[in-house]
Amino acid sequence: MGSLFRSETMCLAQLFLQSGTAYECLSALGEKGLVQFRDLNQNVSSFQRKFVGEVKRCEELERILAYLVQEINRADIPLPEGETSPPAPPLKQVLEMQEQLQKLEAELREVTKNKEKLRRNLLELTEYTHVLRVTKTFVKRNLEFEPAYEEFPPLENESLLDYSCMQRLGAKLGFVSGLINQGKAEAFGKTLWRACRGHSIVTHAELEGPLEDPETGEVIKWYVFLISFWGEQIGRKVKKICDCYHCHIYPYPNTAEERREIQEGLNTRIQDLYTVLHKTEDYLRQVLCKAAESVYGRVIQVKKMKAIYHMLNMCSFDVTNKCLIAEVWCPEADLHELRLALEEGSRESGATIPSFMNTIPTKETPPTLIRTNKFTEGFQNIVDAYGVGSYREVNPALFTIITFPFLFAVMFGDLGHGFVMFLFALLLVLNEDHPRLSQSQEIMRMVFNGRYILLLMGLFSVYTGLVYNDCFSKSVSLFGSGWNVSAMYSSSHSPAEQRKMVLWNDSVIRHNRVLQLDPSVPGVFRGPYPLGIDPIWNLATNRLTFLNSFKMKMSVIFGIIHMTFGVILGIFNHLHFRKKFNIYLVSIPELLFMLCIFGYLIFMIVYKWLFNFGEILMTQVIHSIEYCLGCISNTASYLRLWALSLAHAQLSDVLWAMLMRVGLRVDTTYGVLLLLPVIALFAVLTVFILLIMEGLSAFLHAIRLHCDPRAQTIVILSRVQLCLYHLRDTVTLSVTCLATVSLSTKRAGQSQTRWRGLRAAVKLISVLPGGRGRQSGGRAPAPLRAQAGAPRPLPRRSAPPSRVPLRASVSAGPGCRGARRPWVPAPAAAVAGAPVARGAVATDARPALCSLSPVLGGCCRLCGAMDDLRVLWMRDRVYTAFGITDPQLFEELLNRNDGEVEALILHFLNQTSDEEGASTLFFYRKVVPEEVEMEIGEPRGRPPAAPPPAPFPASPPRGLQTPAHPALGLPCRPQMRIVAHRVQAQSSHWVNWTSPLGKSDLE
Amino acid sequence: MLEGAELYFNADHGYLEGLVRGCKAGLLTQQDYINLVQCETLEDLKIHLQTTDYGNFLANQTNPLTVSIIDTEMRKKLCREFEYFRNHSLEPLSTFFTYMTCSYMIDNVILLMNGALQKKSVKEILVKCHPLGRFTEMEAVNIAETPSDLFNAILVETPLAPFFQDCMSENTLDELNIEILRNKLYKSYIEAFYKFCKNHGDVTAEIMCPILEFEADRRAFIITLNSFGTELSKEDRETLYPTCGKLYPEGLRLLAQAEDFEQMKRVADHYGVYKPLFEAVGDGSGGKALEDVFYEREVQMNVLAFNRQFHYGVFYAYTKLKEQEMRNVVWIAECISQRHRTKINSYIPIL
Repeated sequence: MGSLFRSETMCLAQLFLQSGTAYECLSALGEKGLVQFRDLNQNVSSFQRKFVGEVKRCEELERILAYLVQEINRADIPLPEGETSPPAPPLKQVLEMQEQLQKLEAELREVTKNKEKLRRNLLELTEYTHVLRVTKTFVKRNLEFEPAYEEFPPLENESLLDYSCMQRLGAKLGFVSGLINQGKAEAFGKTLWRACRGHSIVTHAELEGPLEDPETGEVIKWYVFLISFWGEQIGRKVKKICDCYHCHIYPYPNTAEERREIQEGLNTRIQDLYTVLHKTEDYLRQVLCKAAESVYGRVIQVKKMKAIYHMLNMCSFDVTNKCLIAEVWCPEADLHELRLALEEGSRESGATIPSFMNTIPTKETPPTLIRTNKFTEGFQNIVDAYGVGSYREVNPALFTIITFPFLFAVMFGDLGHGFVMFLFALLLVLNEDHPRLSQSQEIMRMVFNGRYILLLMGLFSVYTGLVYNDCFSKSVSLFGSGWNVSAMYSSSHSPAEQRKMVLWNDSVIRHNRVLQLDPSVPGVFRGPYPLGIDPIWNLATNRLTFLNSFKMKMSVIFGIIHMTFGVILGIFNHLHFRKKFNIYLVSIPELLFMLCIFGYLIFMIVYKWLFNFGEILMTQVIHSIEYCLGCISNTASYLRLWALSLAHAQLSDVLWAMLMRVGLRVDTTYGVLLLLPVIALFAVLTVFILLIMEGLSAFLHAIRLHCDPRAQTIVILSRVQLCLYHLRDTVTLSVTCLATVSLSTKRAGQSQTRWRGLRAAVKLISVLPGGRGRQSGGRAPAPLRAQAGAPRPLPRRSAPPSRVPLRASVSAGPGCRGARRPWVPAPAAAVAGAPVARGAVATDARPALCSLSPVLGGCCRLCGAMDDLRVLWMRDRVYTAFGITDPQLFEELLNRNDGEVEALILHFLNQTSDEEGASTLFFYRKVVPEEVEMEIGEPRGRPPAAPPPAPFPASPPRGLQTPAHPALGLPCRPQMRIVAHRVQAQSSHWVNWTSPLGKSDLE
Repeated sequence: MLEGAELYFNADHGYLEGLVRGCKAGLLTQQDYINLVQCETLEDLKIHLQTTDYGNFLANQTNPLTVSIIDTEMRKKLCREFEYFRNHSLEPLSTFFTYMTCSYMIDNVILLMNGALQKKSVKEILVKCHPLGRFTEMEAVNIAETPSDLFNAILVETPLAPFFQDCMSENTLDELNIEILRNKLYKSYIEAFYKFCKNHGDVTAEIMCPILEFEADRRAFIITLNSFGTELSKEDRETLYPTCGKLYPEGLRLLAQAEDFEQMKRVADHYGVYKPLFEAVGDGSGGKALEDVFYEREVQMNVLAFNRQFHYGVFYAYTKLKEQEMRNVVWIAECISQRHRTKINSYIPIL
């Protein structure tokens, strides 16, 4: 354990080896495996070192041994594998061994050579018999031709003509017969035909059964051929060609009698050869068998010897050349052993002066040595895969033994799967001495080496599977569920209770697809399940939601604990290496960061579990942590701006250099003609590559920049906005009206993207003076006030206390209608994520989905705006925001234009079409920041008080598209158009925001 | 550029290109050469080569090491690599490989015919043939007595056949005629190869054409240099020059008229590329030989070929660089075995 926690303490030792005993000492040292040698001759190339001759001798021995092994394998003699590994041979024996081996090799080579010669002879004879046999069939057809000289197969007219011609010239007919490699046969025939101009005829047939080449052992298919030719000259040519194609030529018997004689002679010779060959092979086998007995041990011995000389090559000689000096790293604990080994080596060699060692102080960092056993080895390997720790550093492998299988099991938590894995690993562990396992192939070996890891992983998975209550993805009811379903039936309760609670009866069960268990009903929830998750969750439809939240929190907690643990281990390291400042400057800040943010997060999670802590505070905490994380990743994310701008500039530069510059360089006469297509090409490429392709890529990156890294920011936004609830927005809008802010800016006309709106909103929030801005008392920055010209500070946004509107946003979102409809469509969840998710969090402890119920029960009716609570609230907010006290002012606003404003407000509050209802409020709020942004840069000195309402076009110009919300793909509510209109009708300072709205919206 | 080899090149040839670049990284480095030059014996050389990419290619040699064994084994290794490339290549890369082997085939044919002329046995000559230029019909060349004989009987089916168009004659093959045959074959070969690369277009053309242009011009210079003081007439000389180089046409006409090295140098002075090369040539005592200067330039071009991607030139360049490396190792080995160490450093460094 101690040695696994930190690597061994090492010391640098100097060995003084008497040159006579160095070999034996190193042999003894090597058998024990105590030290690591340092190379003292690093700048000497390999062939200039001291013992290069000895190394060469070892290589020579290795070569002989390799030859022996190859021959033994070829003869199919089993190699006896020695159990023990013999030590390196003593120097006295080396020469003897070398001689022995060399003799053996020479003998073997000779015998093999003889054998091969015999086999070659045999092969030739066999080939000859084959040739004779096959060619006989060629000739049979022409037996009627006499004499033998003139026999040839009458194949073509041409040759017939030639034949008569030849006969006239008195040319002789000759034959060449032999064998040719199958692959070359075709080319051979063609060459013959071309070279002899048809004065030769080749007949060939495939030899049944391939023959083996005795030298290479290759199995080759052969063709037997017979060439008939006329004339001496052509005969020479034919023979030359046969040589070139490596044909095996055999004399062709002229008469049948001759053929028979040859055949008989061949047969007897083949018989004789067989006997000789058998004897040779027997002898060869004997030699090989004898060699095979010792060859395995010899191979190991030679390898050891070579290793010793390699080590000796790393040593340096002292001045007197009598002593070799080696520098080694040795664990302090083994120094005694090291001394013993040196003594033993000296004793064995019978040296008069013993070899000895000194430890020398060093400032170098020693190598890391961590001793492992078969159990810890696998874990150590995992840790080392990331990097070997420094000397004396805390070794995380010790903790990995637990954490690695545990983290694995958290992900793999399943009782059944874990058990199967455990059984498999157990099988490996129990049979670990089996030779087939330790010599297995790659993948199996990997599994085998990790058997203890597998074992622990399986065990831990069983445990986590129990906690998750998962066995092959089904729950096991070991203790019986803590929930009682029958208690939900109304029949099991007294009538008084039935009235108080929502209970089940037959009709409820028949008509509902999803039933909800209510723990507050007595008898339903009988206390928590003793271990892990209640099996009833396996049946619940909201199981995933429940487990989701549970597992997410769990993994965060484990992650933080794991990371914190790492930091703490770091402290151990700093303490050990006496680097105090590292603790102050590294570890403590790290811990502070970790614990203040994530520790706090965990605290909150646990606190909530245990004490049902306030939900709002939780959200704030989680949000701020998210924010911190976001900040870090966002900063990195913006580096893409840098990369992309560089890439774009470079690409356009390349396009210019490769096209236009080339085009412009051409001389003037033809250049004009060339320039036109070049410019066309340039233009096309510019459009396609630079504008479209690059533009798309930049666009995507921009989206990415605003979307993911800013998801944090957006979440903030949406939450603030949702918290505000639509009343506030109306108020804000009216605030802008009341404050007579004129809005004639150039920018507003451009179609607004969501991003600009968001950006403006972000700006807005950052402008708001801190927390106070939210509490309606915030002061607007000076320029704004100046424009507005209002006597009192003009807050541009008043925020209600977060708690109440949050509730409202959850419940009253649908605008009092269709309350059972989820009011946030699924894609909107990204924007409106926080509150919705929170809703889920809030309800996740119950086994059925809790739907959002309306707080503001009935629908509001148009029965006088001042009766409407929401309108009143709106008024209050406006008044508080501006510090207005006169109650008439608001009523005056409501009554303006025959109550058009009032109608609009009420319309806004109540009117929701079925399709758009859910999103109305949402988009409406987007308008606000944009408007505020437009105030900036407004020329000053506009009279803010009571400007006349500007005439407004009754219907908006068609060219102005209502921007679509990118996340939802729905058109924005007409309120957006106000902004647009105002731009169109630039004359207006006062916006009569009711007139266009009323019409266009009600259409 | 617009053809966009990069779009589809890797589908067919990406694997091989990756492979050849890996092989190129295994070329001996400057440090390796420094170590090799320090070797005392061929055994030392072998030990050092074992630490490089050559590995234990000499391990199975039982006989004492000689320069020719090292040479043969190195050639075998290159040949194995080349065969691997060739066997895994697709068209048109395989045609490119065939073109690459043609130059070795020409050399082998000429070597065999010279051998036959000097009544040497085929086996003796075969050992000296370059393994990259081996082909089945090769050994039969010595039955031919005239070039048209050679073509009709032996080479009509080999890749060399198209290059014979210009050199069909009924002259008996004496030494001079063989040499003329070699140069004519080479001229047709290099022009055909040049045309192939040019037609292929793309980066391959951009890389290979300058290399082949240089090769053509180098041959023109060497032919001129070798023809001084021989019975080769000036008109005949001009017919041997490959016409795809930078020297074509004026430079070649001037070269045909040149009568000594100085005049040749004057021709080269007209060309910015060749002027510095000829200036680097020393006069007998110091400086480099013209051949070495050309080799250096070739190495330079071949190394630069690796700076571009998606082209066949890397295969050509790799083979040439490897050949140069083999020449270097053989040079060093010769210097070591002949104990002639003064000139051991005049190998061509591969950058």
